[in-house]
Amino acid sequence: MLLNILFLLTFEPINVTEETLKNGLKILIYEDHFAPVVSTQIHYRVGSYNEPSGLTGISHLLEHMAFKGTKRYGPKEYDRIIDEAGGEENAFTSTHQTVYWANLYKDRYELEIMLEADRMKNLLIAEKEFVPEKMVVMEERRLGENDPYGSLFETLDLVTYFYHPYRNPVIGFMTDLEKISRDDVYKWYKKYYNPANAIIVISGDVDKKEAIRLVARHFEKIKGKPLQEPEFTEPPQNGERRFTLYKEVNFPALVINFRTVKINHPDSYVLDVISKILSFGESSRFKRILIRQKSLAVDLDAYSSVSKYDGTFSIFGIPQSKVSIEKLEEEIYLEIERLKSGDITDKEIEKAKNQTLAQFVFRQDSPAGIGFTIGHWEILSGSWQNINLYPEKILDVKKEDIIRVSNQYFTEENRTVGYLMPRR
Amino acid sequence: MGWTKRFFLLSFIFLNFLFAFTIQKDSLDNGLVLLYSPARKISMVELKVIVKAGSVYDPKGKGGLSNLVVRMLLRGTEFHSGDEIFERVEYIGAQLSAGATEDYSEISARCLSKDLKLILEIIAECLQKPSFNYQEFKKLQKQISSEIASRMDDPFYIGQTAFRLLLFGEHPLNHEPQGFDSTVNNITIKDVKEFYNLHYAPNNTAIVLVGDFDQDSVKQLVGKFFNHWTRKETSEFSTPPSFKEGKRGMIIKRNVSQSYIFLGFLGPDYRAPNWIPARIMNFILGGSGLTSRLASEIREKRGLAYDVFSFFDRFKIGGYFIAGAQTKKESTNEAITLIIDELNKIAEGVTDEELIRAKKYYIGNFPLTFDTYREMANFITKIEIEDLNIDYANKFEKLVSDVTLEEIKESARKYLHPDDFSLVIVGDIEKEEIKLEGIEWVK
Repeated sequence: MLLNILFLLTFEPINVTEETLKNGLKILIYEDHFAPVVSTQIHYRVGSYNEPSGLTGISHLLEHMAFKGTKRYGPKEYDRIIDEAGGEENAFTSTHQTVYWANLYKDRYELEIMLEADRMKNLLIAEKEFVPEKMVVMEERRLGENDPYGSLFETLDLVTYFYHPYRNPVIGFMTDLEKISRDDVYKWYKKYYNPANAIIVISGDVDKKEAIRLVARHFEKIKGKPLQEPEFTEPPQNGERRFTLYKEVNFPALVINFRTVKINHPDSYVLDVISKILSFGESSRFKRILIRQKSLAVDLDAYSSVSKYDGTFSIFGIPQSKVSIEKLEEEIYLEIERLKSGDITDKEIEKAKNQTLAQFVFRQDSPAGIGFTIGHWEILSGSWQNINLYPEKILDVKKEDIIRVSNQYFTEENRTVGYLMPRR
Repeated sequence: MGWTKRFFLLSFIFLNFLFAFTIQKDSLDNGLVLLYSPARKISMVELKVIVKAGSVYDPKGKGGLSNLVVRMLLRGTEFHSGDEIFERVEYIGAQLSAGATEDYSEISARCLSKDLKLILEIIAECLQKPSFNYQEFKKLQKQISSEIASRMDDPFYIGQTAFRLLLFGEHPLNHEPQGFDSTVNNITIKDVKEFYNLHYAPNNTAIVLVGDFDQDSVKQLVGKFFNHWTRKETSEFSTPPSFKEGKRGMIIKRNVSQSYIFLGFLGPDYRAPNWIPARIMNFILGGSGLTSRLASEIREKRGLAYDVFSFFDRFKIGGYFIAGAQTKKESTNEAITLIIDELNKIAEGVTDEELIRAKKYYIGNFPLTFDTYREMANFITKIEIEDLNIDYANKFEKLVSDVTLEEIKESARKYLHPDDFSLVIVGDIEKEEIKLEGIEWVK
């Protein structure tokens, strides 16, 4: 307990300034004056969750087209401008977000603000650019399929969710990619890219008032149009699901998904502590017992992912050569049974809490990283402020919670198990 | 306390701003170097201990030895078992890991400032009093060889390792630092002890510290924990790889939907002259993401690949260049031809506009390369390993600004060899399908 108290004394909350323009654009500023660098990010509230069947992958395809020219700047002009400013830039799409970002020297971050405003209102999505870029995205999909575990995780989501859009891959299905047209993408852009559906996060060596003024200057004239998002609920699972995939691999692999809870749910913090006990660091149970002592696995990880509307607790493992995949699965369940029966020491729980809190401090090392965290929590949990509640919620987790949560979610009827096997 | 010799202070001016980044360097009587940069952002510390013996010191047939040795250091000392070491470190939320690169072996850690003393003490014990327990050795050996074997399911990793083998032949740069599963399985506990006795010495070691700490107490602690480590003679490996003329190719058959292409040749080492022009040349050729010439031809104009790249990887005694892409089987020949064409074209020079853009990028990007404690620690490691002057950062802007069009052309002619390359393709393709003249195919 003493150690936990020490942590509370050193723990400093993340301080974010929040401002919303009249058109609905939310601005979140995090000041960090350590290095003369600023990370500017725009997070759109759109991703694979919003895609109807037939249009899977369209948010990500739009993200690609967002670099292919606007009314003001030609294709690749954006990359050239940021290159010349010495910046680092990229974009990514996930289930609920499409994010564009650039890290720049502090005297020039307005460039990125200006370019993002242009991107929000002036994208062309020209047919001439669309055709080769769609081919690039199809190559990206093939790359994922050739990754030994890419198809395993894609299938895992499909079997875990029968109905919910969380079943769809962010990259999209190949048959959908083939059919999606330039006009589909343009409509998608017009629907989702507007100030009321976006957040600007600026993190680094800035003055917050100045940053807000600059964002307002470039964005305030763009019209906002708030969007309503339907909420889907996956029915309860009521029975174990299993699948096997065959590929040209030497080592089999195992994935297990347990359906859990959405972000902000009180049990989500307990699940984080459990994932630390099971697999964070070399002294965790999976690494110490199953990998080192028993030599059963090459790799074994457990992690809790809680998203906006639902969550999973996942385990991924690669058995050691000459260890059967069934044996590894069995041993994983034995470790889970130990949690359920309360075979957990106070020291293990304290360690998991200390690790979580230390990670909270370590994360503040990177202004860009903090920016992504702020955007993630704002969009998925409803407010960035939940970041600061997190350490206290973790400290509140008790042994009884771990026993209760393990018994509630880690059951046979609530799990989906996938095997990746060498092709016979 | 036994501190001697050098004391440097660096703070540099960049783009007319004073950068609040100082590096200090001290060394103990036994030769151990301490490089540190106190910073007050968050109360944590990033720490690296570097021993200047990496995988180029692996004996023939024992690729992966240096990596196995440094990982063994965390698997038990005369006073604590491996489990106890990790338990002590992780209980306080700290992280500890070990691994080798081509040039050095490294233990790295990150901890809250209040725990720095304990972490230094643990690392000092691991470095100076390893037990090299036989059972632990057998377990780690099996674990590492399985890790490598399982990575061989990734076509990219297969291609990269095959490329190095094809290019470097018998030279020890022929393997990734972790080695191959077969060579790791050849290693004995005797090899581990011998490697340790040969290379681990304070005069071959540097400690890098970045973060929130009191520098006087850190010096005192480092003195206390490392002062009794005895200096000894260590040797340096210095045989460079030899250049081979002609075109050599290797196809690795895999049932995948794309061809993974790797084409390259030997490249400059750390000490090779005119590195900055070469770096700028590669930026224009294939190092600048979507705006590079290779990306423009292969990805942007033709949509043949998602990932297109070229880079130089440099080490103390050698280096290599690779250009590559992954493309669907039917586009394999087209992609290879485009890569070779661009290697030829850039030897004719680049435009003024391309050069100016690349210079602007490197100068504007420089402060971004150390905006976190971890990146600062990596930067300081680079200065130490590459024997750069500690005022390298001060000179960087001028070094870049002074590069001329002529130097870019020269560096392309000197470092790119479109007629003498090694080519590896991983995919569902036969050598008869590759339409290139004069390739000697290797199995």
